[in-house]
Amino acid sequence: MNLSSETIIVATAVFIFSCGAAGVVLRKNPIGLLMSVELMINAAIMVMVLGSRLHAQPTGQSVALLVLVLGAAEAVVGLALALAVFRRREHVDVDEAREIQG
Amino acid sequence: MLPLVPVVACCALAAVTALCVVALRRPVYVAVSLLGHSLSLAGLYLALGAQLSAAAQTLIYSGAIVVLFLIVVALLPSGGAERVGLGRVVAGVAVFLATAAGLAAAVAASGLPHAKKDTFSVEQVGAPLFDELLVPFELTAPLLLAAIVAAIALWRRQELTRPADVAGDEARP
Amino acid sequence: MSAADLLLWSFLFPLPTLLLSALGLPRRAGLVSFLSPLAIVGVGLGWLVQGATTAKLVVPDLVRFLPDGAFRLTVDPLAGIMLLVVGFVSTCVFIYAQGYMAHDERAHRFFAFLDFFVAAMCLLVVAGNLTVLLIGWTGVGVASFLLISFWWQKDGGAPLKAGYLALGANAIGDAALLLAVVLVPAGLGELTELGAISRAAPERATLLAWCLVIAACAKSAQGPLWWWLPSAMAGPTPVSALIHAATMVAAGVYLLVRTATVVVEAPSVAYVTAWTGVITALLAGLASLWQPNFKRGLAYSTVSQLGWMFTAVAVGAPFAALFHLVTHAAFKAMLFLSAGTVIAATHHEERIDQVGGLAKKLPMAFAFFVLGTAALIGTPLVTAGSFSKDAILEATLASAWPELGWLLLAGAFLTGAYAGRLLFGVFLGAPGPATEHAHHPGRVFDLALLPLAAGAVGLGYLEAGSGLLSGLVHEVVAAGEPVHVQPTLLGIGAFAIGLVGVGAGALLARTRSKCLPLPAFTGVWQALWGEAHAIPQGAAALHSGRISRYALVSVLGVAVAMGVAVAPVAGQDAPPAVENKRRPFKPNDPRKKKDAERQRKKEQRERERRERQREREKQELRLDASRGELRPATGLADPNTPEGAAQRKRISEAAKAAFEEKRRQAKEKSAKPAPNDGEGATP
Repeated sequence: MNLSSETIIVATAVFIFSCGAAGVVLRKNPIGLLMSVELMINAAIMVMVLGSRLHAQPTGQSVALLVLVLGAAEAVVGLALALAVFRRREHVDVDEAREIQG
Repeated sequence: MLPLVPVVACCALAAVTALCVVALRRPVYVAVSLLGHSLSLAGLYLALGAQLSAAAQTLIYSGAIVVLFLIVVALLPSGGAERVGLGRVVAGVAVFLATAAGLAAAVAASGLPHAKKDTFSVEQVGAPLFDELLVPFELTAPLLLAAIVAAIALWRRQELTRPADVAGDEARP
Repeated sequence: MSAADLLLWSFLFPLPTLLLSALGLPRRAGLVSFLSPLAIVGVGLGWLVQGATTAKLVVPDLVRFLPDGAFRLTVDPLAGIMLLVVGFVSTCVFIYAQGYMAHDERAHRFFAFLDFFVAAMCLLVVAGNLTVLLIGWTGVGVASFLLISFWWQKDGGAPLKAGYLALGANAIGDAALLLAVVLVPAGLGELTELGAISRAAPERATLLAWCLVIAACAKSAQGPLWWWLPSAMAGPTPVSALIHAATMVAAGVYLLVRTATVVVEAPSVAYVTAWTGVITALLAGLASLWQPNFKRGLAYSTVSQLGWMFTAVAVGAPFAALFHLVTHAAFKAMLFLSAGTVIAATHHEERIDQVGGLAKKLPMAFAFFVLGTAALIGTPLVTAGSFSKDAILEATLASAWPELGWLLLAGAFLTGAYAGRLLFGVFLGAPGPATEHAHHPGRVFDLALLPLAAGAVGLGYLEAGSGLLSGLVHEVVAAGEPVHVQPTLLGIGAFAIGLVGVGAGALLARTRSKCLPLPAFTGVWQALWGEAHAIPQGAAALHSGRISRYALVSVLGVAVAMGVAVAPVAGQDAPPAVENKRRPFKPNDPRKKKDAERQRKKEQRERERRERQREREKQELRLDASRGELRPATGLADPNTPEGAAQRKRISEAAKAAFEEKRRQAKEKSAKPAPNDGEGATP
């Protein structure tokens, strides 16, 4: 296994994505949850930019731009939701919001 | 070939800050480490020769998204540091290992070609946006509009239930 | 646009009535909803008249990361016939349902869901590759959940739990079909080409066959995935008739008939499927005998008959399975709708020991039920059921595993038993407590069943007499033995066994509870059924309302799915880097164009200048030559003559002399120092 720069970048992307996925399960704070989701998006963008360089096509960076915009939109809606649900509670715990059960 | 030292440095920083995002207790620390993470990614893109992506990452992500996170963290009653039980930590580690294994298997199943092209100009990166990615590009406009409308609608709904709160009931939003 | 092309878009036909129902029109719900399946039947009949042509629609490369990511729709004879079946049964059920649901305040929503189901089913049928079929497959699963749990508050939430059970079983089938979609090799994407997989990609053929069989078992409630169908009877009776008797559960059989070659050419898969079909047929037939709820009894009957169809496909007679599917759709829907008439008449009484002797009050329903029972046991010469069952029995007995045929023949006894039990228990015999208050629910309940009855009788003759069905699909489905008109010994034997069974069922119907009193079996059954109950309970534990729990389950599920998807292709060589086949978008550089223009103009000017220079020199030479001697403009003498040659010589010598003179003069001029500069200027 060669430790070229490409392999390092892909390994880092895998690591960051897994961190994000673990963070979604681990974190209790809703903002922390959203930030873990953003980590996953960042990892995907990383791979896209690397891929555009590896395959010698600029499309990867274009898609990365679009995904950034998507991440921004998702963050906006998620944060608005989190604010709406948790603003007036004492404990900001994602597991306490169980109204969707049943 | 990609320059090794900047790439390794930026990747290490990105990995460390990602761990911090997941593991730190106080929400403000988490937001600041997300800021560091996105800036290290911008540095990585510069090392990769993707200047437009680096600029976009800095401006859009660090400059707008993470700042938004910080503002919301300030608005929410933080309740101090988080305390996570052992079962949850085990579940998190299990998810981490499962995702990493799945992704590593997928990556190992396909090969990685070598880096070819050095860098792309802004014109070359922008060209696909008007050629094959035209539809997604145009769709981001209504997407952002929908996000704005959603955020405003959620806030307005809160406003509507506020008078009950002022009267003293524990009205849930 | 031929009828075949119109049929490609048959999945859009229910949209107008869906919109109408969604808007709450017309006032009486579902009054015009039957028009959309009727349109499908109309176009289908036109397609038959036009010669049952084939039409295809391909949108290539819609999803690039799949091996076959094109959007393909295909209307070939098999799809056309399935569309006719779906449309025909749907029309009858829609007409029936608007009478059945007349007093329900959410009836508009019901008809919207029914339209959605018909649309998804049509998409499933006209799908040209597994990708599009998966879309229709999941669509009918969702529609099934919505319709089963339509009255979700009844009986303490039982329909909702039944809906979850259906979703759970369907999810297993969806996962198997998704894996099949990923496994299809590129180039074999079309469903009709899939049979070549055992030659083209043999290492995947068995796994693909397993995936298809598991998906079909989930949709048709076979083998270990039978448990969702009996509880699905908690939905309204039109739903049970349409979805869980005639169409959706037939989708599993349709998938197997479409990909019959794949299943049959994987011998282990075929063996297991055949035995699964037979065992399910027998056990479900037995289970039907101790159901106190007569709709559930009919549900187990459906499971049993589907087992017959699965066995037929697995032994290599997919046409027999298809034919039985068509006839079964007609008579099973008729049976269910008659049962629905009973339920509507007795104010939703579904227990068999509370009703009895309803033949006098509901004569038409009784007649239809008798016809349906006759078809179920395979009455020769009268009903179509005999032709199709006969075909399946013949095929199994002639196959590599004839013991399956003998078991199916024994199963005919059970079929007669449960059919007779229902007939005698509900319509004949002593009246039960609910019978006194029963009243006839309305004419529409009887009229809607007439076309189905005609189909139950006529379809057999249509096929046996003209070979219409087998002739149409012979390219797509292996025909096997032709269907006989005269009943064979085998057919009469099966019918006789069935009649004996009916007698046994009649005896059972005379008992108090009208159910089979075998406590030992009941205990075993409870144990098995108890296991199935663990599934929704386990699912409910996951459904705790905690986001972290949902995230955990979904991420682990995605990780497992990734591993499963990668495993078959791991270890192969990496595909070559993707070549962007499209030309890169090069904007026209305006400067380049101008440069080229300028260059061209410059060259043009150069050329012209040189031309003019040459012309001038030539002119001067001519003038010089003519100074020495007058040279006629025209009329030079012929050079072959001596005068002409002498003339030519003189002209050229004069020109040379003039030229030398000119050069001498120029040399003298240059030898002299020029007045303005000291250098020698060239002439």
